[in-house]
Amino acid sequence: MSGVEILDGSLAAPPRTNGELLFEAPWQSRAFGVAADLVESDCFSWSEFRGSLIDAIQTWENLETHNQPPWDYYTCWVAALEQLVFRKVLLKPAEVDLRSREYVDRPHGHDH
Amino acid sequence: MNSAHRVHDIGGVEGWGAVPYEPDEEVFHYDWERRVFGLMFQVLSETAKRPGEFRHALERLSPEDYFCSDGYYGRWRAAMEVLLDEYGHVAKDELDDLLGVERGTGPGHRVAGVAEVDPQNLPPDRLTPKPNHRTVRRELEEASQFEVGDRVIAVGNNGMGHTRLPEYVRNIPGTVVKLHPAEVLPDSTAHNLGERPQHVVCVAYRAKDLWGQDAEEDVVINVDLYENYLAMETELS
Amino acid sequence: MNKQDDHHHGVDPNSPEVRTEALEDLLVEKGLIDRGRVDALIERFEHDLGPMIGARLVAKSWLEPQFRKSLLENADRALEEENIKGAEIEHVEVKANEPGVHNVVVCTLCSCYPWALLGLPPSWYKSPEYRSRVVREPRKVLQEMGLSLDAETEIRVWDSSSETRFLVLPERPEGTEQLGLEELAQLVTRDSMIGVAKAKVS
Repeated sequence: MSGVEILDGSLAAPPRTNGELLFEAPWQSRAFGVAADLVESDCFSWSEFRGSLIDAIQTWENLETHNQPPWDYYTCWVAALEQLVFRKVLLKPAEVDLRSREYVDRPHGHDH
Repeated sequence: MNSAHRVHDIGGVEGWGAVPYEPDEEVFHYDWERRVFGLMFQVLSETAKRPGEFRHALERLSPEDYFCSDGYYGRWRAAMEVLLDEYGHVAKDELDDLLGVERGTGPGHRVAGVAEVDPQNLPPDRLTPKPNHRTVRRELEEASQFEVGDRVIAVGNNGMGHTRLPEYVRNIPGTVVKLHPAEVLPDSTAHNLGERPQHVVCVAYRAKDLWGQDAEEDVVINVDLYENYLAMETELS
Repeated sequence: MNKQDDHHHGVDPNSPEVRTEALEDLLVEKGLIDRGRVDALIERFEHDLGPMIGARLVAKSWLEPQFRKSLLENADRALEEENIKGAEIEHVEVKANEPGVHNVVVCTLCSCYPWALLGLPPSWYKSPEYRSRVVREPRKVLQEMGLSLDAETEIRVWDSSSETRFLVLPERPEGTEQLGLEELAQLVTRDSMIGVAKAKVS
């Protein structure tokens, strides 16, 4: 239908419940949607995304136990998305770093 | 027929208890299951590429490995270990060593070897147009020997190779209810003996014919059978 | 300062939550993605894959007799017209439940299942308990799973021993005449399309 089922056939399969995608927080569904929109706009394919996600998962697996954060699928998803976005030169790492810091430093009461 | 060999063919086998039914379960219960699922596609592309070959690997597992406590993904993992060994990628002793367990621990030590299949026991091969996408379906020039309404019996053969004939219908008369599209024959492709495509025949069996007079009333079991498994009932009596 | 009010204040800038928001906003600003489209995609993916594909087919067949007919006579063609394709559907057969007839699907030899219509199979479907018993005593197994059928109902079990995949078309529940396609689809569970449950108004 969309090609995203290619993820199900791999290490990179998203969590599901009763066959449907399972998001535990809104940011996870946003991360999913952003990736999907970039695929729809032909910035990359689901196949490329899968490769990036598998790399991100393996990077997590290779971390030493004392440095290894608990497993979280969508954390790996975001890492994979970033890597691909940088590789395709859609954004620069510095821009995302800067923007992330700005969001964290927003004054109390910021209405988002 | 050596039925000890057919650990997977459990239609109608008695002794199993209640279905472990969870209406809203997660697809993967553990992260390792997800990994097995993912590895599958990479392992298969280096090993069991032909239709039926992976299933045959599953079917050759010893009962303890097939029904192991790790369930469905556990047996996939066991079958992958077997294939990696058989295809010369990771020897079973090497795998045991890598895991730091005693040699002889892994399922590769208990698996039945790939069955020797005599091509004489298989129907002849035939040429079909090459499909333009990956599919097991084939177009056959000849129509099926069978028609809806025919009374047929599945005989199969006594070989130990991969087959899609479930034991519980063997030698019982049934009625043809539908013809499905023709497919390559897994009994052959799993053993790299060519496609030998067959019409697929849907045969309906009454529960009482399968299980005896104490079977539940008004139950019909429909099974899809490759044409070469079947003969007309009248031919056999 | 009350740190609880702002959802990012005091949070690690490297957390996936913050990075995601930054990524999305930057991509929108550069015109590389469209926020409305992202919203629509989330909506679609959360509900489109998995059993909802099958559920929508069932709901459509409840609303359109012509579609029901085409689904029962030649599901492959009907699915193609609906632009549905994907893993594990070489050939599909749809079997309709009706008064006096109840259908249920199994794969006794392994665990074949119509992924593209129902998503990934539940583990009970793959269990030796289900695979061994549903061909032998389906009435009892269904009752144990919560579905009681009256004695006059014929049970047809479909064992997926070839590459044909089966989908059960459950009966439309009573009192749903006013409902549209999406609302009807919500009533169709995966289990009702395997045949171990009925579609119900919840």
